[in-house]
Amino acid sequence: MTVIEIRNVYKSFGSNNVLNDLSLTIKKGSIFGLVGINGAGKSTLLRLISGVYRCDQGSIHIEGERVFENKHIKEKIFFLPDDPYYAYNLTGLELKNLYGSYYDLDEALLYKHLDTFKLDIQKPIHNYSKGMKRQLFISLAIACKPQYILLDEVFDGLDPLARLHFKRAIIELSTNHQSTIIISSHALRELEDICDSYGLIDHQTIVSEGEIASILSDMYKFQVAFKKEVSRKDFKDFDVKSYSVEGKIIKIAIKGNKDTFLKYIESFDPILIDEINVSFEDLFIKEVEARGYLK
Amino acid sequence: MKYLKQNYKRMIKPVVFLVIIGFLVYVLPILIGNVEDKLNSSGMPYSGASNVAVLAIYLIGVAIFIPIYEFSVLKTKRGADLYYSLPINKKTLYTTLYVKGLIELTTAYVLVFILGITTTFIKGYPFNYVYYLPLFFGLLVGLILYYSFNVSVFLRSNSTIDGALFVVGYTFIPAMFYLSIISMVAAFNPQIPYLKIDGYRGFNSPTLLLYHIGMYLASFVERATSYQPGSHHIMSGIWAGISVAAILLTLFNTKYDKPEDIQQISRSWFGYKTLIPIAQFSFIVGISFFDIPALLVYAFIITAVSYVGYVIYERKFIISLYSFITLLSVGVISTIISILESL
Repeated sequence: MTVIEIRNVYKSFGSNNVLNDLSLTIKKGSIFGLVGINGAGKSTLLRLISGVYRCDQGSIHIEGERVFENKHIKEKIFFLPDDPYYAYNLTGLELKNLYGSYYDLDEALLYKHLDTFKLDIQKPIHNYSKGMKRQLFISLAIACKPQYILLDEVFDGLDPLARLHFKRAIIELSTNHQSTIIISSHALRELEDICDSYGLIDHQTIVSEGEIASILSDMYKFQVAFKKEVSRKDFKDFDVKSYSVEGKIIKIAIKGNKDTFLKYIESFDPILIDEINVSFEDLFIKEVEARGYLK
Repeated sequence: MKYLKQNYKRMIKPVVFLVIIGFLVYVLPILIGNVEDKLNSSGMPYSGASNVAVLAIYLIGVAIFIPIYEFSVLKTKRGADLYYSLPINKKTLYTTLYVKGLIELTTAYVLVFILGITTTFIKGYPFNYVYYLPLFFGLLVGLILYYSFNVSVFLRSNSTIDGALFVVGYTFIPAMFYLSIISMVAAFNPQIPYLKIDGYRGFNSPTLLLYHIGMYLASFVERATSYQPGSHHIMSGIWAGISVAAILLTLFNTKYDKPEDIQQISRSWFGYKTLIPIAQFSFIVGISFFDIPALLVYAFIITAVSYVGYVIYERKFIISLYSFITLLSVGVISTIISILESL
């Protein structure tokens, strides 16, 4: 069931168009990875969905209701920006009180996560390290048990153990509480671990979206060594998603029928054929390469 | 309300800070003062003996400080991300912060006032103590109105610095403008029906809401008659009306406030766009008492300073054509007026 519906959204800051005719739908209980190069408009989109900003044109509906200035819907949303605010000298406890004024905060759950992260919330937040601050805000976000969590660059500053704990907590929230989670990040491997769907923003709009597993299952990547020289032209009949050459070894990713491709490649009498796992990172690189980046 | 209850502890610090300042500037001089030094030859307190002028100036400072302290959080991108994403609409958000600031400043005021009157009484100053009651309520009303005005002005900005400059600008620039109008009327004596100038060259800005009310009611406390209110009863009434209208518009008409504008140039008509040309005009017209060569030099300096104002406003050295034309035309027109006045 679609719960977040973004229709033909435009947003600009002065003469700078950030989002242009962007449309997107997100299903209930989904963990959605929002990806894109720096400055693509990911944070702006999250601010629009959370009701911080208002669209210049178009609409954003959650559960069929407009979000902007809608207290009823915003009670179900927790937005964690990439650089969250805290007043100077504010302690974690005071921050808990602030969020507790607006959300139905589960203190037991909060203290469980704080205990895991070994955080002392009596201390002023400015004394925390970057990762500790992130852990505190993540704990608060999870403890509020919102229906919608919007997380911007959430893996920044988290150590591998904290990342693991966070990913488990997010999956638990999505599974047990049916929360819909949108995560914007450049940590594509982490996103691949937890996200079921994704959207790629480029040129002010969503250029690619879908279910990660389904898209990746339709893609194959091979490492092949040939006796004779081959070129990309030799694979023109296939939907080649990426192609690179290192000496006599080529790495090629294709979309389509794996068996047909393998039969074709065997006609070149290769020395070696290895199938490599296609990752979300490969998909991302393929998409941004296709759009003229990384050249 | 829940927010205020949960965060009452964070109100203690600013209140303590303000009470300490209030004690140092208002109460301490009363405490260490000599009663005999406050009396004239007939044994009565002279005008100003109650130190209320200092109290009023202190309250002006408080009413400038609290809006900046409370609302600056909304003028940072990080603060906006937090507060505008919370399940609270802008009207409630503004009202909550407004009430929080109101609690802080009234608490500080009440404590400083009580400390002041207690000290005055213990020291045995021969004042008419009954009149401290209207003085208390008069200053309280003035304080709330002036605070409300400053909140409205501050919220027209897109950054804390711009907001602070707007608030400070509105403290001085209307007074300069008022004086320039009076000097023009006095010089050219236009025969405009109903236009009467009482000749009172006081400091006519929203600060009248505290200074005038304080000084006027203090004259009853002191049994002194030397304070001349002039047109300030009327002007205080006008500023009170403006303050009420400003705060109502600010709290109930929030649709023009966009979090996405935060840290952008503050283009409000209630900010630099109006304050800079008015300040430039007022200062140049106000220096008509100089001879013409000196007047031209000072007019040039004032125009150069106004250019700096536009640089601060637009955050670039090459200002927009609109600002440049405004700067030049205001400079030329006000210089001509000033020269004509000086003749």
